[in-house]
Amino acid sequence: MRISSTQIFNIANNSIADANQALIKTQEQLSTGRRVLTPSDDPVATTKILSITRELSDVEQYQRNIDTAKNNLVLEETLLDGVTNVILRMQELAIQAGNTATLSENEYISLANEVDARLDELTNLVNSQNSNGDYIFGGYKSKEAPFSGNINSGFRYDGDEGQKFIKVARNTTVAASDSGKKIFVDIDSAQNTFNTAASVSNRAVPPAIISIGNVIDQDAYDEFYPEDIIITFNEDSNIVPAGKNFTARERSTGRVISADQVYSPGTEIQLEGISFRIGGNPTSGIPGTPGDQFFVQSTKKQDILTTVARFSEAMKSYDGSNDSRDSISKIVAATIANISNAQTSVLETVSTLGARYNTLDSTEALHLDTKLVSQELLSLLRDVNYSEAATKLSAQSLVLEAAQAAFIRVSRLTLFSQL
Amino acid sequence: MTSNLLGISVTGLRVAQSNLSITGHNIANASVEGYSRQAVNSITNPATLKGGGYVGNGVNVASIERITNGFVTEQLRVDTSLFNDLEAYNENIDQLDRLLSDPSTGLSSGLESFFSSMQNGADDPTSIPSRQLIISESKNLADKFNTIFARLDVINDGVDNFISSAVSQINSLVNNVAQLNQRISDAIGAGGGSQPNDLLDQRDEAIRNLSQLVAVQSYEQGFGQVNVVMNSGQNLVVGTEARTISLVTSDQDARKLDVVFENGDSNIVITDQISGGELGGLLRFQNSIMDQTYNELGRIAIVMADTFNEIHTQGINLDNEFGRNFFYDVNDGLVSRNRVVGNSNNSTPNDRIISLNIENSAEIGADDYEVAVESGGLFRITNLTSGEEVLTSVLTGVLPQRVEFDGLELVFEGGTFRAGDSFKLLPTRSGARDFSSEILNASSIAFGSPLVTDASIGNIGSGSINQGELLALDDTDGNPLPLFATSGQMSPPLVVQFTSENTYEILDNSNPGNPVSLVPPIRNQRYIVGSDNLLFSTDQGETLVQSNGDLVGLPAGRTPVTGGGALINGYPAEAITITQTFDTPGVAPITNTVFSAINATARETASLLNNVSGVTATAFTYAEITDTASLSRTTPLQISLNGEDLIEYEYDALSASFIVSSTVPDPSVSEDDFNDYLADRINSNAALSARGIFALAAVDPISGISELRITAPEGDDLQITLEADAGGPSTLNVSDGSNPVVTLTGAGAGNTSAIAVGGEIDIRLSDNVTLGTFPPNSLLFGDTSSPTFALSTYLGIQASIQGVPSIGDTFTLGFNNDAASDNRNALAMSDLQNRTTINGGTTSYSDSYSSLVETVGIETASSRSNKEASERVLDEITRLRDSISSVNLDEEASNLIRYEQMFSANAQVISVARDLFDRLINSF
Repeated sequence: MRISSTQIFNIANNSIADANQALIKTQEQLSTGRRVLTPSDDPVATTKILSITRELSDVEQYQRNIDTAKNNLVLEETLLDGVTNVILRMQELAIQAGNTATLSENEYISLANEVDARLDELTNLVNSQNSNGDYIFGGYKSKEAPFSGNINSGFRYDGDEGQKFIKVARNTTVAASDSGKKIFVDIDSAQNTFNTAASVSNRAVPPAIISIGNVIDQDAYDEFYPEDIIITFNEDSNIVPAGKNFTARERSTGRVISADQVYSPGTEIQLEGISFRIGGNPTSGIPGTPGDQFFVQSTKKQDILTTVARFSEAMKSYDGSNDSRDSISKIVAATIANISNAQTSVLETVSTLGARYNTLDSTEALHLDTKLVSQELLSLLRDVNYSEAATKLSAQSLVLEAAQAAFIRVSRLTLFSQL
Repeated sequence: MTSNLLGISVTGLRVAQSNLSITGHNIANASVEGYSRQAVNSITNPATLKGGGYVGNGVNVASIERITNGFVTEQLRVDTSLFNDLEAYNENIDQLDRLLSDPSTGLSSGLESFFSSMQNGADDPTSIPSRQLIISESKNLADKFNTIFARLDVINDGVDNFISSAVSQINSLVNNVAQLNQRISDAIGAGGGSQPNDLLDQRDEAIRNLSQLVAVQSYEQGFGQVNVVMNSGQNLVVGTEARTISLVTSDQDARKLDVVFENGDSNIVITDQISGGELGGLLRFQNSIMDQTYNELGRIAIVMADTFNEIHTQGINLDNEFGRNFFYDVNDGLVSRNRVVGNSNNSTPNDRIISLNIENSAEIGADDYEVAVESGGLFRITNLTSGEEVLTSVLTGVLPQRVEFDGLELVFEGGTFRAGDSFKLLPTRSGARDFSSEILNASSIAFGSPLVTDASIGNIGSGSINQGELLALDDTDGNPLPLFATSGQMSPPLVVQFTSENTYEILDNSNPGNPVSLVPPIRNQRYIVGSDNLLFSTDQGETLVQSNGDLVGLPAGRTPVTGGGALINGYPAEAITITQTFDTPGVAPITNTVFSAINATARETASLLNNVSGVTATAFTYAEITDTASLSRTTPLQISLNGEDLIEYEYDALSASFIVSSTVPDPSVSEDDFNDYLADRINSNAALSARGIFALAAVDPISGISELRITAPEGDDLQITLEADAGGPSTLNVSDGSNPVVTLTGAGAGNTSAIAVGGEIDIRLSDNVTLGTFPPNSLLFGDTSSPTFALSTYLGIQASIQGVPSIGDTFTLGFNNDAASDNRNALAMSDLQNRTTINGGTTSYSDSYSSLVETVGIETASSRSNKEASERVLDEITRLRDSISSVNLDEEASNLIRYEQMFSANAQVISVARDLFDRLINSF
């Protein structure tokens, strides 16, 4: 075949350019450490690389989530340990207080003083806040202290049943909190008791309030249990002279327990063996529309703070008489039972914390494995094989050098130099 | 003789000179592109007959020809077109490839860090810094979308520039060829048929250059002229006439350029027909992968904004308000209108307003559509990618008119639509540009769920309620559902009350002292221990029909049956027709007719109705017994319920007869005690319990009258019989709780007074199921034409109760105020990361992006290998052409020597001729 002079130069140009291009590519691979520089280098591997990178980033986030969850659980466990300690001491005190034959009024007072101090400690524990200032036992309502009240007024839980879950793997969430209701309120009680509440549809401004109240005659109340009571304010004209008055009814049947009672703010109201107080100015009823309503809800559950408070109250009111000795014996027996129920509840929660912690640990271990495997796979897909690339580099530079040398040789061969 | 020799040598000299100058010409043009080496064709001059024979007359130059091969030249053009097409495509897609995969510009990293920040937020919902991080990451993500879009625009604009420069180059080359045609035919004419080699080379080179830009073919036209025609059939050069192509804004889409062939007054759009060359490659790039990239990216942006907004607006923020849009509103008026581009040829006045909304983002594709209005208001929507017609309908003339297809909603808002109007629909094109983060401050991120549930602390059973979830804020028509329509509250709050161990009702708890029935009511619901009992309907189209007919229960006018005889509830026989329609056009509705028997119990009719698909009927019967004070606690007093005697008798030895047991309280002393006794008897009766019948002694909340409430939860008739003294006014009243009472009067021993109370039926009809009756104004169900006949039961929430609740247990559902630590909605938003929300629910955001990257990657890789292959082919053919036509300098050098020698030899012949001449002269 005939070769033209242009061809000689073109062949040299092309081969040098090709060799250069290959060399640069290998050099780029070597300097970045990546085999796949753009998706077109290996489109299928690219998709895998993207999904593995994403998985790795997910796993890292899950690990951070696990750390957060662990911190939450550890904090909760520490606090529950504190609660358990108080409970244990309370049990000792209750057993001591059961010694009605020997203890004097003064000794009961001093016992009650210690119980009060422990109650403060307990109240602080159940109203603990985390570093963000969130009340950790308030459920979702973490901005307000979940337990309100004091030894005189009794205690109330204002939080909710909310539980925070943290995502620790693609399809796994782990509870990272427990509501105070579940741990400290929803505790079986040895005696029937009750909760009070004002209706949300009450119209009085400022709203009238109902105290937490207590059982004054357990036998009478046990007979009434499990009925609830609704207290409804009537039309003022129901009594003579006209004035604020209320009627108490059984919730389930609507039957009247006590009709048209004169209301004076803050006076003790006693019904069916329980007592409580309503304060403020409830709205009176008008024809066709009942006035403000208050609820007394029977329950067989008692929160731990109220249990302790009732124990303290009973000891403070001890006057040495046989009646009060009997009453204190009953209270002590109930307190021991309630405290032990509370302890069970706390311990149950602690054990679920342990279980969750184990879940977190095993999930974390799984993540570490995944991470390792993914990283290996990623490196296999994406990273350059250095020895191979280095060999390739030297081979390619050899080719380039050869092309250059050959061109120089060939280009020198011209007849004109002989003319 | 001498002169002849001289003459012959001169011809040899002339030929040698010609050869030398052609060799010089070849050497001088050795590096000129497209130059074909030339050679001199010499022929021997005709000989002269002289005496003994023919004596030669030397040599002459016959022609100078260029060494070329027409087939190779043609093939070179074809391969040049192909290579340049692929190269232009490859150069541009390479940019896309790098853009989408670059860690700093690609979307993947943006999505990852955004969702990481979302999970951080969910871990610690009260932390303001982690909320701030979400805001900044959401802005970063929006930046990513916008930046990629802007870079795509840059690439696209670059392509536009290339296209317009290619078009102007084509035009100038075409002119060039036409001029060369002229010059060549002139030259041939002037040269008496001699080929103007250099001009032919120039023309071949011009056509080769043209084929770099667009695929062309050429053919001889005569007089040495060639015509040049594009692959699409348009003649660019006809003889000496040059035609022009130009770029204009596309009629269909003002954002695009069309290539038109100028043909006198009318321009022909040839964009789709152009192939080959740089122009073909660029257009192919722009209309395939570039459009696809814009659309796929836009789809991710739209689906992400839509799904995120949907969940975010269902959550509540730290201020107890529902979240606003997290990202841009995909159906914002302007955004929706910008998705529609009117054809510039549409009839005037240009007053049409038309918009395209995203109806269901999961269903949208990444294709563009066209709407064409035809005569008679008929319009067709065509998918421009597949060419399929997706919808044909008729303009009603009533605006706004809405049509839905492929997850989109097209709204003809206003203006006049005339036959011939057409619109291009670009559903996702600008999604990535429009994407923006709308969250302004940390506390407005909605992490909480608006629903909070609570099991009453007074509950005796072990039932528990789950946390509940919000399903929707709007009904199917987009109107807000009432439950959360008012900010910061649930209207009404709800309470689930267990009326027995296995029945419950859900009431309006606005006034917890007196919960009232919802409209429509949720009552007499079955509770199944051991399963998750879902409280609410999840069927958005479900409706409830109640038995509001005049003859239901114990209506006024019914009289007691005395002295025995059949006890009937007086219910009429009616035809109940249930019709199920289907959204799919062309599917015929299914109709079922059920006939209720005369005097059938509610239980029986409900059972018949339950056999029909799409119908759930529950029946129950309620009766009250009041005013028992006039009854005397003596023989023959007996009250029976469904044949079961309720008053106990005992044997009295004194009178040696059965008398009313001493355990029966005296109703004249205390109705309450008497009612308690009856309730106990009913609740402990095995036969009644077997039918689920239970009773409660209570007081009417309004009148304060003592009453015995009896419920048959399966809708059996309640037959109440009184046997009592005839002497005194021994009566009791029976009612169904809403109609006036019916009085049963004692008629002496052996004579009974009895009444049967019929039951009610609640019929739940699934979406697209309707109920009609004959007669239309039903005595069982009320007026079927009344607007309140079938009411929606869909509340938009769901919760479930598990465990074993006891009678009287309550669970409340209310608005989740001040729930700072609630992260349920944050988790729901985090879950969107891996939820398959795109492409009919098959891929997630990042998978969708990966597949876009992969598509572009594969396309780039294949275009690269195609380009390389075509480059090899082009190299081959170029080499062949060079081998034939290109100059070899060594060859020319040897020719130089050869012709120099020839010249010298001929010169020598002259010198010999002169010698001969001299010798002859001197001899004289």
